[in-house]
Amino acid sequence: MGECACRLNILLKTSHPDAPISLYALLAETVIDIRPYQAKFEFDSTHARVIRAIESGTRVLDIGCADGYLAAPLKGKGCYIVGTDIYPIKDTTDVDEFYQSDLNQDTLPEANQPFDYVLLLDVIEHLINPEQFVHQLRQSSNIDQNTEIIATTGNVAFFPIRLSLLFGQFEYQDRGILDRTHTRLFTAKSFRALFEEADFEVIEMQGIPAPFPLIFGDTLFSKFMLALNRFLILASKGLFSFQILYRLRIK
Amino acid sequence: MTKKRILIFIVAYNHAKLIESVLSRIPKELTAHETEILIIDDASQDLTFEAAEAYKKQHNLPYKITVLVNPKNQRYGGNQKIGFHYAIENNYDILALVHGDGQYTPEALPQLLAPILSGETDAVMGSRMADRFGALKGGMPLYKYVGNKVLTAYQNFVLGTNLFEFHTGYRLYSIAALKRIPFDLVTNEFHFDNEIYIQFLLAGERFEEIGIDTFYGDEVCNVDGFRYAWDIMKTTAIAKLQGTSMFYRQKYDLPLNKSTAPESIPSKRDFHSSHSSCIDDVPANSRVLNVGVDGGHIAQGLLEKGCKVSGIDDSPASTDIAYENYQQVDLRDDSLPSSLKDFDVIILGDVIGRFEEPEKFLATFAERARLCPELQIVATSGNVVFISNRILAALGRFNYGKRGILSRQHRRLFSINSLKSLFGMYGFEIVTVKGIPAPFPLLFGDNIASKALLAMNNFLIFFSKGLFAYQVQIEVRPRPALAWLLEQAKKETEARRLNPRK
Repeated sequence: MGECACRLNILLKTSHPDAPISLYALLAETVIDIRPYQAKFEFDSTHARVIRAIESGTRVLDIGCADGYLAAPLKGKGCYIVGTDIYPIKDTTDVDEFYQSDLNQDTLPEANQPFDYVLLLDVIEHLINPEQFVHQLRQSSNIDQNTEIIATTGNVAFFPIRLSLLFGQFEYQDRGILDRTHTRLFTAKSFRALFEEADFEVIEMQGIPAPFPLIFGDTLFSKFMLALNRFLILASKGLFSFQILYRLRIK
Repeated sequence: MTKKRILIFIVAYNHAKLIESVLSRIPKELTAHETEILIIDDASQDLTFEAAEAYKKQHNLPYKITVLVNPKNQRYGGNQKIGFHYAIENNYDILALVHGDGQYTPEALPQLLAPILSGETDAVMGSRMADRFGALKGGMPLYKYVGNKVLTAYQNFVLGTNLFEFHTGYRLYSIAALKRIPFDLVTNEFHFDNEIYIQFLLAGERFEEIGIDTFYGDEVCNVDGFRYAWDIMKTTAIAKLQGTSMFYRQKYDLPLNKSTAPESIPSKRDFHSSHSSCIDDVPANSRVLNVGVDGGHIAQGLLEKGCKVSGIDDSPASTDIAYENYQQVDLRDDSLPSSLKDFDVIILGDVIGRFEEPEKFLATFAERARLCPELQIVATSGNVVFISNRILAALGRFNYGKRGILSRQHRRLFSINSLKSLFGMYGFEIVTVKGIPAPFPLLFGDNIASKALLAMNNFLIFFSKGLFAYQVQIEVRPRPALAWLLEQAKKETEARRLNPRK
């Protein structure tokens, strides 16, 4: 599942093809049928950082790979990419193996050899039982002592959200940290605790600035805002990180 | 009777000099059972593994001895987990933990085993503090003695227990009980034993304390006392605060499988709460559909008012509640009955945020409710902008708990405003909005202090619902469907024809 830059699909469909189009059903569809897809490579984002962090020629498991948007750049680095997602993938040219799997119900596909990297990019906040999933991952044959897990999530303690909650506003949106499809919300601390409880240890934590270019376009202003945000993250990750990225391994 | 299978599990770390003596002190009378000794050397820097192997070769012991060595140090708790796993895999009945340094006398094993063998209990904790000053006489350093007393007093106070000590490493477990607690989730550090103890308490497993003698020799202690004390204080507090919305740790969500059972949800009927308020607002003898039964407490209250209640939830029904009809559904699907005609009242009990797609649920609900616009619809929900959440979030804390506003069962969180606008979006009119105070009696017991806090909370709600309502209860009315209005017009016409106006 990609960064919550989601496309809003307004599809004129109802449950029964012959039934008249119900306004309510339509309203529900517009809100619900959001399929994440927009990637962010051009600026300092989770995707750019992850691609940079992954060494060439390694085996990568991308859990919640969406349309496989990370696969092409990783393929360029000579990586072997296995992807899983709840939705089928349209274009399999860049993904070496793909498994359709609902992380809320199915168990992870087990590889015969551990991966060098396991990616969980904005996935865990969509699960019904994140604790159970992380624990299952810990036991899975996909990882061993040498596997690096890269996990990202939105930061619910990002200061605009703190401020608006302080003043009584807490509204989910179509995208961002309070994306409607997020079933669990994390802070840097609670995300870390989730993994540490399952016996992972943190190698590194990074704070990631808000995706200003997605909002203001690829402008000088966006660049300035990104730089400012990065500077503030140096002062406080918990307060100013839009997203958090953890690099982890098993203890 | 078949022989019980017993695993004597010796954890060893840099105990090359002591391990032989420990092995030689294991009582021979244990051969009455099917006994194995398992030694796991936790990647010692000295020759612990070799010493144990040499002992095994030189002596013709009446038991099977297995010596293993970890390639990488797993810490005190991590090493024990491997032994627990070994015992489960090899179908042992009982595991007895012995320390490789001989601090806990192996001679006491038969005495400590007895109550588990007889089925009287599931775990035995050998306590050094059962005899008042025995531990000191046995050479326990004073700082450890005092530390043990202070920490035990703290834990007894917080957990409401009355134990001699929480800190003993001399433990015997029935494997059946170990299988019932998620021991693999607890720490790998020195407070492993302590967390296992807390798991036993929370899971309601049986255990017994039996006094043992203490022998402190010249073994080196690897424990950092301050770190240990801090870990104990923290983990105990967290275990206690499971029930609030402040902390959640899966390892303390015990007993397993029972945490979502309806029986585990406490009733809030005896004070001003979402339960009592819903019960009060439903007229006697109504036909009620309760979606999200929240332990069945509202249903029970309504049954006492002569109502007929049907229930829908994702948990099984409590057997002692006489539902007309109960459906256990997955809250991901369309879980409503296709017609709501047979009901007078619908109660959505803290359930909207539990649906995977609340919008989809409300869309379906609206469509059906509009055909029965005389329905009384009451919905409750936590209020995410409750003052304590605002303050904690401002400080960067946003922790889900077992229950409460940030319950882990909630996939979506609402404020009063966002709940109102969600209903508004699907064509419902808001009739009333009531603020509900925090369930203080559940936290502090049914006493004067709780009553005063409830009264104060209610007073504050009068000024600001958004800030001070812990939960919100809203009553909504569906906008009538055109089909229904047309039907009404036809009926009216019929009646007018029969009784024309003069």
